[in-house]
Amino acid sequence: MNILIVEDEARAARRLQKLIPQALKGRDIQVTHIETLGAAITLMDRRRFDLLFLDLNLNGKNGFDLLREIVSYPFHTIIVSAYAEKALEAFEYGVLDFVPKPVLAERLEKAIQRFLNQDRNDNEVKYLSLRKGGNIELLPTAKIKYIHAAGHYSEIFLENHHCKLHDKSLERLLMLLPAQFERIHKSYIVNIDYVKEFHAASGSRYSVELSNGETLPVGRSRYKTIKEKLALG
Amino acid sequence: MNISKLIFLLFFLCYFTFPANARESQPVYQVLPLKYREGDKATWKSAGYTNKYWKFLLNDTWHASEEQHLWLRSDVILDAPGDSFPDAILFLQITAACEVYWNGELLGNNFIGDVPLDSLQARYAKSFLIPAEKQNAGMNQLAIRTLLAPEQTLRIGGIELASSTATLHPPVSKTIFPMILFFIHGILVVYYLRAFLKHRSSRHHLFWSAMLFLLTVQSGYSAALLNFDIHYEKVLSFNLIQDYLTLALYWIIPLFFAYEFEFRFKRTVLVVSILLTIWNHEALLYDRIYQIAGMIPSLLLIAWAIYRQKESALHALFGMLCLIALLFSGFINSLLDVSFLIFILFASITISRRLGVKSKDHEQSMLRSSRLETEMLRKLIQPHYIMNSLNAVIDWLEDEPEKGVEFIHALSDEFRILSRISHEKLVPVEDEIKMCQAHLRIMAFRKEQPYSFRAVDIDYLKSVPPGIFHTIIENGVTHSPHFVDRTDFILKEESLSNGVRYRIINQQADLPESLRATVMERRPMRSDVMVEEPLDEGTGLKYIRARLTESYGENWQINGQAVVGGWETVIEIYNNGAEE
Repeated sequence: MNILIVEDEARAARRLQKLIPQALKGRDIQVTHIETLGAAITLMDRRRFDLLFLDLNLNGKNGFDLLREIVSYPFHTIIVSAYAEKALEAFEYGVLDFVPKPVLAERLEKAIQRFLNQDRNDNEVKYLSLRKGGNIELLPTAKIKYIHAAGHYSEIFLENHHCKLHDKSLERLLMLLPAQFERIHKSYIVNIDYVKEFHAASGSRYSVELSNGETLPVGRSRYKTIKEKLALG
Repeated sequence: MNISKLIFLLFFLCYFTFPANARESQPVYQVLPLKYREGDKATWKSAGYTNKYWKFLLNDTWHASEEQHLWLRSDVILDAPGDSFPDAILFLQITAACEVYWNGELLGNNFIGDVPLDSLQARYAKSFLIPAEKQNAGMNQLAIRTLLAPEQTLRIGGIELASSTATLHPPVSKTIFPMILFFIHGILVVYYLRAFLKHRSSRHHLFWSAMLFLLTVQSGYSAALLNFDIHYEKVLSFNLIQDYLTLALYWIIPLFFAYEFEFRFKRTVLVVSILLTIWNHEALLYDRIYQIAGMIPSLLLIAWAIYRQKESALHALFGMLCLIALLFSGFINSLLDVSFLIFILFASITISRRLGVKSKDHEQSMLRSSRLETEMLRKLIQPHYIMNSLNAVIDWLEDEPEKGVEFIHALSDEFRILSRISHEKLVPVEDEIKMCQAHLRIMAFRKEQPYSFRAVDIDYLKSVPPGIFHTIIENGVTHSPHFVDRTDFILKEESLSNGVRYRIINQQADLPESLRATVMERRPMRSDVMVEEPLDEGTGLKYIRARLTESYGENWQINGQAVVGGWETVIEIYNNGAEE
């Protein structure tokens, strides 16, 4: 597992380097420490990381601009910052967790466990950010109809019939997305808000019909949960 | 009590209470203009004598070139004599020895002691009793026989009738008035003198104080004149002073407005005013219409001020209109008499209002000061600063407890100095340096990078606003690159002919030549440098500027420049800017 730490204070970085392996006992990990985000981004484009621990000055616009860029990468991001009051806002942009400073071993472990267990985030992610050319585009999660897996990437289908490609895998996106997004098939996540009807055809073939008439397949193992959720909705 | 309220109170007492009480029981009368004739004839005193061919006494003044007798006659019309005012008093102010006749009968003279007319020993103000039986309804004849020495000027200060209860004193409203003026002027002298002593820069307070002192003397003398036996000759020379004061008013009032309303051409105003008084000073002294004409420069200035929407222009208009109304009503004779009071009333209101503004300014600066203090505290006691420091402290304590304790000491040092100096406007350089050193120790623990601080040629007793060097150092730490072995800060003091210069040099030791350019580029902050403190160039610099302005006004400068291997910040503070 490749882990990247971006932290400009040597002591704080050293603390993370000490605590992270403790939380990931017995796993094969490789921890890299970089002091500046500029240098880190260069590295991110060259190497694949699984998890990023980022100390970011979130006081001011600049910090969030950087955050939006970071969360568009395929890996998950855990913010480690003294700006605890910015945690909620950071979650809106899709960080996996926010560990406040001073960093306590238990809290860090919890964040790592969440990553390992692929727990779904119970925070309100409002945007998915994706890189397009040199720019960052923010997609409001409410406008997403469904997401289709495309290898390591995901195709995001929007209300306005546009389709966007995201660097994160379907599994990783699901961890971030709010509760109305449901995995209905190994290749599909749907936004329940856009589902009109649930269809059951002969031969245990299930599908959902979206409000615009599109139909998506529903996996056999998942139809029960979907049916329940739709009935509740 | 607020000074303007006090003056208002006295003003009302003076103008309304006393004259009103006195007026209630005053006879209704009219003194027709005085006529004169040179020479001396016994028949001129008689009631039946007709003075049809006598000449009018211009300005109530006569100048004798040689020793001569001069007779004055006037008709006095009484509306309801005798019944309601059995004991009428004729109150005469004259600068000559005289005998007074009423309807042909001698009322008395104004001689001092038991001397004849030709001794010329007479008092200025004198009251004469007119018994009820001698008062005629309608026309009464007043005749005054005077003897004048060569080059003597005769001036009639007033001929008035009043009722009196058997005492032969001038009417109370007449004597009490200068007394009150005397006290008001006296109080104002002290008030403006104090205001000047408080703020030495406010020269106009001294000016007011001096002018009011003259007026105090004047009103004190007037009060004495009416109440004591004073020789008319002294009154004459005193009258001259009064005249000059009155004329000076025609310059001072417009000049006051020119200053009050920040009119650009003050000299023009003065020249116009002086020309006006040279043009016809006699008329300005005695003629009502001319007196009002003399107000035209002031009125023009006020009109201009109203047009330009200057503050208190309407106050000024109100004051001037009151003044003109009083002059026009004939209630007062000379500008000097009463107008000063109104004018001073107006001036006091505006000046006390200005003092109010000044104290508001003071409050503002206090507010600014406390805002700067808060800003400084916020800068250092920000949660993120503390949290980041604690994060490092925990780690040090876990790994090397001794170092951790040392770290905690450094933290407490910084906060201790901070809490001591943050509320000061200026602090000794020594304290500021200690705070910088404590901060660098903390950052060294956090960043695990050595920082050094050197003070060169420093006068430790000099004072500087708190937190300015600290802010520069903080910025230097934040922006220093991560790949250097050591960062040195040097604080250097240099004296200037007119002040002092501080150089704060931030040098990265062992910085390879190839990286120096990169270092330069990094300031101001680039987005790829992660900064934990929100102290980008903007906030830190803003704080420093605000602190320097608070203590030195405009007399300072701050500049930054790249130097070999680092950055240099130069602060210059010039003399005469420091608020001692």
